[in-house]
Amino acid sequence: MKIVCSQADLLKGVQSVQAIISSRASLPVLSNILLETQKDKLKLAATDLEVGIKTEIPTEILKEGSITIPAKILFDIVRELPNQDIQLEVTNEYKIILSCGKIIFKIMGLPKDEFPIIPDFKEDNAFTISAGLLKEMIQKTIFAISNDETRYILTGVLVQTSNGNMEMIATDGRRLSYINGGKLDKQGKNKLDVIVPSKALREASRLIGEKETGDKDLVKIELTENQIALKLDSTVLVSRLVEGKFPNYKQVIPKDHSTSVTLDTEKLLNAVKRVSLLSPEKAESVKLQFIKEKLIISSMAQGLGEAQEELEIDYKGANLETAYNPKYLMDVLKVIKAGQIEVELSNAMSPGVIKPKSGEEYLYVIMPMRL
Amino acid sequence: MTNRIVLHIDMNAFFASIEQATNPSLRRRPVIVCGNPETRTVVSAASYEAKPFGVKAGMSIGEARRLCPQAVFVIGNLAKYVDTSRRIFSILKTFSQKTEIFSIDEAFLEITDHCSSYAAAPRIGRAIKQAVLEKMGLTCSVGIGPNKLIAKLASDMQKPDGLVLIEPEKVAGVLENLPIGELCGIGRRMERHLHALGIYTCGELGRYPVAILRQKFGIMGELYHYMGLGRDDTPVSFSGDEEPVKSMGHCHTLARDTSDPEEVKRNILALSEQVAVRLRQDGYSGRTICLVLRYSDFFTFSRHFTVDYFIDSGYDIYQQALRILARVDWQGKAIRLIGISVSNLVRHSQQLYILDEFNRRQKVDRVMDKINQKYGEFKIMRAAIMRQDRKPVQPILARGLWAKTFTKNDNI
Repeated sequence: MKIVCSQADLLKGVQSVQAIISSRASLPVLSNILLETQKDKLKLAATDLEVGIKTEIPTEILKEGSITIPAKILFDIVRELPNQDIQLEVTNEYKIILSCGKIIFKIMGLPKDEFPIIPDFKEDNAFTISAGLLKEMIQKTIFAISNDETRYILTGVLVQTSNGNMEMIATDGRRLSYINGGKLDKQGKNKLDVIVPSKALREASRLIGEKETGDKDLVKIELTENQIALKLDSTVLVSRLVEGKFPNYKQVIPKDHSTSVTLDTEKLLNAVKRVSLLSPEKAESVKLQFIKEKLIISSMAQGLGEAQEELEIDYKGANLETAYNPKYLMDVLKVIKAGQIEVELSNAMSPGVIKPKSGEEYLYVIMPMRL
Repeated sequence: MTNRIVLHIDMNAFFASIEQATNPSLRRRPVIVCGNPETRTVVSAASYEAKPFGVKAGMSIGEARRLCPQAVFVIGNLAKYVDTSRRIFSILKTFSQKTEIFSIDEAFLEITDHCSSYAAAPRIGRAIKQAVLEKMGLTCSVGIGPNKLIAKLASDMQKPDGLVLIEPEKVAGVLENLPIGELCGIGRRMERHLHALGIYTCGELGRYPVAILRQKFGIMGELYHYMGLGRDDTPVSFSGDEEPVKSMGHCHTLARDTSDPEEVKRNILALSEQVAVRLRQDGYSGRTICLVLRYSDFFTFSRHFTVDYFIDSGYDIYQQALRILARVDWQGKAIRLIGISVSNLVRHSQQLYILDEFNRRQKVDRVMDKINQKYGEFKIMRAAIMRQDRKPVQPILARGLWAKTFTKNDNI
């Protein structure tokens, strides 16, 4: 293989794929990035066997071929090179000669044969969704997943289509995040009903962020039997799916409530943050007392002390007292952009619901702690 | 703090003495309290008749039997010991409200306010011994000193049935040639470190430059310096300001060494359930799960893992312990002892669940607790535990054993 490409293009390509590589790769070749000529492009790919990413960059191809190069070394070198053309040449012994002006690096690579195949993206069956919306949906759900490997099913986000709308749901058993992204721009052939590992979604979110995509950019989503593939521009992310049946989340979302109160998102976030400062390690619980025109937020840390903050609110209902894990409250308040939220409550033992007052279809169910 | 008068009460061969007190046929015979001696457990306590043979707590049963073949082996009954202990502490509290329960068979009493001088202190000590003997039929050793460190040292000096007073002006003389390992708070490992510095006696420890101790051992270095001088300012913390419980755990020596993953898992499950029952009984839940393993060569280590929510279910503890086990490279090694503990505890702060499957587990736990409370421990249990080749583990408090295993605590 012999190619010439710009430093900027190569850096962008390497950056896109290298984040997926695990520092504890189980096979040597998994620490490498695959470089392969494809028509007039250079294909770059990396995988940790769970998620794979591939992308292409414009290249002048002098001789076709392929090679895998240790990702970290390649990234470090390309990053430090001046923004000029880089020539990459692979010898018969899988040695890579990388030259840029008067700079020459010789690196040992590995042949392509051992590199896992990342399936190609098939456009025909794909759904499409705006990149900005997808990123927002990920942000608003991913924090609620379980990081408990022993509850494997809950370590991913449920992505499904219903009536042409795309919905994402995440729960760790103690709280649940639900978002409806609205009608998909293009419906795929299959109905979407899959659990996507959090890593894939985090990577997708990163890729969208890196591309600085506008609202108009589209992400294509394609589904195969046990894999999901996302395509943004020329970058494709493929991930295996979490196998199993997601719990019936609809049952969990309260149908009614006895009290509803409007609160200022930022004021509540800051108050919870402050009041929980006493025991950030233990994060036992913060108590929310709704009394006439007042919300008293307080916490007590055994052997440390206590904290309290009062917010003026528009509340005329009966006195109500609940307690929550402060992290669970802050997690959702951080991702809600709307200035105000609606909190729906019934009693101290039943789930509360938090919704932004913005018309978007987003809701968060939070289970209290026993007082 | 000057002129404090502190008492240390140490019950003599506690578990064994209780067995002798309640069963006349055991009196004046070497008695060894242990788990089921048919399987393999360790010595929990040895009576004074057994001690001359070299039998010590923590020793394997086989070794104890070799040293003292005529000994009577009694299966320990923890409930009985805890109950006796509780009664003794309530006797002690009639002498001073400032009573600190130090372990199941040890307590400190601050009698500074009840006693005008050191000369009068032994009278109180004798009265305590008399009361415990009359009401419980048990003997204890009493140490009297100007602080907890010296009082504890004094009670160790005469066993059984002792009474030793170390007055403040005699402290230096007593400590001068006392090996540092005799001090409560200097373990075998620290002893080795100090030996390496050429420090063998408390006198030497007290004279050693404090700056070097501080540099070597940090804040503890200063503490060791004061210990060498016989100074100890820690108050007798009596009920009412007891330190909150920091962790709860159980460990178990297997009936035989095993490298069978299924058997190891079953034992972990049994221990997890036991720890969980205790957590729930006292209203605790915890975030950090610790697994202790001891190989057949006695190499012991622990690994812990912290989750971001509080758990009090045996199954949850078990799952986390398995996660830790999966990261330990123990394949092919034979395991002798397994321990499970939960720390980072909070009280009465129980997260409710939205998912039914989580709630079901919680409900099952509560129902099992109720049944076991009413009909006795492990009357109802997981089938997986029942398949073991032994009865479910009877918890025996091998004092100190648990603490010792926690010296090497690596996060994973």
